[in-house]
Amino acid sequence: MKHGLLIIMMLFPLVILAQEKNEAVTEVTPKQKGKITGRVMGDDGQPMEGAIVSVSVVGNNNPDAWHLINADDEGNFIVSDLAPAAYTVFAESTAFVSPAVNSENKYYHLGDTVNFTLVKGGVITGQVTNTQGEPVIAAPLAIIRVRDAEGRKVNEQGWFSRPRKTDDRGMYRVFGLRAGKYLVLAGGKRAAGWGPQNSYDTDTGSYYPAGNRDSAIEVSVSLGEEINGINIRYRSEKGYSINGKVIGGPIGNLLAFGGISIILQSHPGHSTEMSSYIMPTDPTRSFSFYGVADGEYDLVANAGGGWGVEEKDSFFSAPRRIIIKGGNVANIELHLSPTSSVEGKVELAVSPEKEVKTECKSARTSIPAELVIGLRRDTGGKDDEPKPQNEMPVDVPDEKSEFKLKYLEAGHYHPNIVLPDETWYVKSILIKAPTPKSPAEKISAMTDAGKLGINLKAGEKLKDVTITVIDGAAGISGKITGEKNQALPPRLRVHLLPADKELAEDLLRYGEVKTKADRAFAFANLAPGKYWLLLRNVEESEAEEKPAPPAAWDAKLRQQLRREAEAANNLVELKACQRVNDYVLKLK
Amino acid sequence: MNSVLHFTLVILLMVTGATIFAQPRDIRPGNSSISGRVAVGDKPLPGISISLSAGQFGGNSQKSMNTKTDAAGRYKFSGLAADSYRLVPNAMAYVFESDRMSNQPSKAVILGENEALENIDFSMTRGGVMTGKITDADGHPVIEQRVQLEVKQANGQKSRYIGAMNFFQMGVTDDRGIYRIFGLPAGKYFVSVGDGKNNGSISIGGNSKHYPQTFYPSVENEADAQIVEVTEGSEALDINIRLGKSKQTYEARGRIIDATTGQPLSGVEFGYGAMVKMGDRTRLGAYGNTGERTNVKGEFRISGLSSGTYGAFLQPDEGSEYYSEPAIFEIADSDFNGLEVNAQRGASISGVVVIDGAVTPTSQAQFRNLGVFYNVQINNASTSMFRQPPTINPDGTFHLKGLQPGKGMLGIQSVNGNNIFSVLRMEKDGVDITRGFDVTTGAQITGVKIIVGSGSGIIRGQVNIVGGTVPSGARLGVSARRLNSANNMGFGGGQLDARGRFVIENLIPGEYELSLNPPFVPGQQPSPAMMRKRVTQNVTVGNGEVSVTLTMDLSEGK
Repeated sequence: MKHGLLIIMMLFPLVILAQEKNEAVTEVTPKQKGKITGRVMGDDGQPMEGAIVSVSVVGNNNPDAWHLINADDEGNFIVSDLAPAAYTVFAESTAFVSPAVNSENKYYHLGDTVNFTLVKGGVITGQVTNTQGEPVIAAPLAIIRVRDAEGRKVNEQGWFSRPRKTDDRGMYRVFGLRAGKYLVLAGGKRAAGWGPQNSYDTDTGSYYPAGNRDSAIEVSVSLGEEINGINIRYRSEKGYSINGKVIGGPIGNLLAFGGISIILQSHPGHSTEMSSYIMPTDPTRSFSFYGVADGEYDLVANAGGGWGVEEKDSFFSAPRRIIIKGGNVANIELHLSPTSSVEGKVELAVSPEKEVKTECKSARTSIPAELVIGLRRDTGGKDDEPKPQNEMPVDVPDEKSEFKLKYLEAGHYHPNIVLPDETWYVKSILIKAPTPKSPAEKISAMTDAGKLGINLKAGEKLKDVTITVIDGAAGISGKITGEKNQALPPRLRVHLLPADKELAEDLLRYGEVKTKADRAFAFANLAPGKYWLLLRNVEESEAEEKPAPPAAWDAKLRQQLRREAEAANNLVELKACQRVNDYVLKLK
Repeated sequence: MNSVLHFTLVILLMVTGATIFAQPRDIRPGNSSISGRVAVGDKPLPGISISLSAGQFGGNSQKSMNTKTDAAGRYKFSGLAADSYRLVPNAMAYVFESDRMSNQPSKAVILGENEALENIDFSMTRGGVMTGKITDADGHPVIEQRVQLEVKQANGQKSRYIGAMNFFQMGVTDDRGIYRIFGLPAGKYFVSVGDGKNNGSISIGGNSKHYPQTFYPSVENEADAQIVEVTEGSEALDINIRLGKSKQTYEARGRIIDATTGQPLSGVEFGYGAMVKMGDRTRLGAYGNTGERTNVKGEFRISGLSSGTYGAFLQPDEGSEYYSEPAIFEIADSDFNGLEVNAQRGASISGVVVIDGAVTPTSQAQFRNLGVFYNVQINNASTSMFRQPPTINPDGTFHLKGLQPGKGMLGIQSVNGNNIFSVLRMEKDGVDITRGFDVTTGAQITGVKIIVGSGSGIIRGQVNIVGGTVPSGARLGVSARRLNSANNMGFGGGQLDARGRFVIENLIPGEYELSLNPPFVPGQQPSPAMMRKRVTQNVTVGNGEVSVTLTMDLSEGK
């Protein structure tokens, strides 16, 4: 449906450092409104009348950004009168799920048609009884997805949106589950989530079949399948407490920040175990957790940055590792510090006619409003980092082509620019150096964020990032074949590398894409130039929902890629606007 | 589906806003204890979790203590300081009496120093169960649809049964369309699913399909609804409802303009609600907002509306200079376009709040949480569109904007619900304005002075009921009103605890009138005879504690 777009997102934006002349910055054209349409169907071919469709502008700074509508009796929906922008579109119907893997958001634009097929989710039922065999009543259930349908580990997700509890017979029923493997937890604050106090809040809770997490058995469920008899023998075990206070952050009451949230994440796994909340008017700023089981955790605090709360600034704390081993933990201090942000603008450059012919020019009139500016965090390959509090910072440029990515933690980031069609590529991402403190200090012109990424310090408000997008992008697509009768590995990844040695460190010119069953691959939005293509295996443990960070981010891996690519020597030269189709990439 | 989830959260925050800002209080250590027994008749109930929190209204679970009943159904909390407490047994499948309206039944207890308080017992009955299946016109299960219960009262009136149904997904159908409600008090119930007609209820933001309200047994006409009788510990099975065709929903679009200049107002929040008929006039019933704001052209859009009469208005927020009356529109069988909400630039009032008398660290800390609110009377009907009052500045100054003109009144409240201050008087340019003042269109009123005080006086009391018993489910409350002050400003109230005790704190020395109001059952109009049983007593309060006993005679003819 949106093949091109999907691939662009796997790519890092590509760049050529400025050498062309005669570029003209395009005028901002009057914005024409448009619509996004689509249809929501069940896998039985019946329209999903009443399904909720959410169409929202990427980022959160547009007051007119969000539309919620229901599909009509034929499953159709239309959202009209939309301003040009990049949109995310979701469809949801209770007890049904979308079978598509959504590890990456897809973006849509005016005129797009978005079709959804929803499938009845899995169901898990069972009974919770105590050690005397009596039903455990009104115990909350947490259903934690730990593996995908193929059994690979995924980012753990708990069941928070629709709390389920046991009834007066101790019976529970959880539905609308995606295919995969789950842990089922009864009781405990984790299962309770938000809500009024409950008898089981201070217990650690019991996992299926009867105890702590180490003895938990994963329950496998497929779409449309009902798994019965997941009965839990509930052991009322008191957990331990963690208490402490939050230091620093905004002065006075926190009404404008909506209070402070404290989140206890498991370690590893980093799913939210419990959350606590300090009221805006609580001058002590103290927090406590009860019913915490033995184990390792990361504790983080944040104030502001929440949806629907208008704050002047927002604050995070650095994660604090907590180890619970047979006792309470007290007097933990979490220090709030201001979050970082990245601000800048998008500049549109147009190549001269002699280089980029009219037929190659974009038909869209609303660039750059339809661009998505995002950042991806580079943890240096560490998989056990606490989950960032703003997992996917994205924004769309405003009327002045300016963007702002907020609520960022300190760390290393790579820009991730998603372009609305295949005529454009990212030419450069430059950060203007701060004004020199003394005349003697040498003025370094620009930092090349496209190459190096962005190193963000705690509380840093980085300004003057200029993203230059230019037309004349090239593209290449093709298919992977093996030798005659050779069985291809089930999953392969195609890497794209700049062949020019001078561009070896330019991350914007690297790309990678995982192939699907059809063995096809495609790269779009490429800067003209020479590239190598390289085929590699995908690690068996890598889940589709949890792709490994791009290999080129790591300096050593990058060199290794280059050595392999040079040896394989699948060299292509792409001219401006050139589209190479049907490229045959042979597995050797 | 992140965005969908966020949406739900916003609604939740609005609904539970009051709870969120109620300050939890720490449980302080001391030498007193509370104990009791939980039983069904003579049979003890072991393993029932009981939580205890400090303060008359309790707190949240973060600052509560928990224990479980032993094999004999007994529980005990020891090491407690003298204070007010609230006890909440978590026994969803059981029914017992609560002394206040809440999702969780509970009991208040006022504990003295070195007191071993015993026999704070909970007498429970096993609640009834109701279960059934909800299907649509085609016989397909209707998923995640909320079943509503109404109880037929002794006087024939109906009242909505809430119980634990709101917080707990109890009463919501599963993927098979099946619901199961338990812990129901014995009674006669009307069961229905779908949107009510003209009852002023509205689901803001809307989700999924709207069905016309359908009663058990699958009838749309309320008069044809059948009563479902629930008795102690019984199960009412197959209370199935087949719904009619789902209702089409429509959209309303409009804009908010400055009524004077005609200019659109962008970036302002808007709200909407269902209009209800009250006698010969129509007013907003339930209303709310989704946090959405008008776009750059002042336009807004409301979706998910089924046919009915609605009102859309500018939702004033802190710092907003405008207010509006609801613009009324009717949705019949199509979208509504071109709605115009006329917003007026409101009046402003600024001034200062000052503490009369000594300032203690406690009062200083609480002072920071004070907010000044404004109420206006129009045609003798008080309107108060929800608006979180801005807190005063650290120096006590305040500035209110966007106020609707009329006979205005100011008041103070604490954003954390723990107000220890009472208003002594309010003045402007030496003139007493405590009882209100005229606010004209666009007036900019400055120099308002609100003098507040807080004392260390305490009235501690005991209520005795003679000549009868308080009806089941009824509540009693005590309030204190300061006499002989410039304007008789009322202050302080207390709820009776399990032993009929009450405590009213932070009183400024002076003469007070204590009132014990007759028992009332929430949702029921008390009889005039009952109303006359109100007991009052004058009390002189100094800087310490005063003990009072109030006796109410419930015998006939008194």
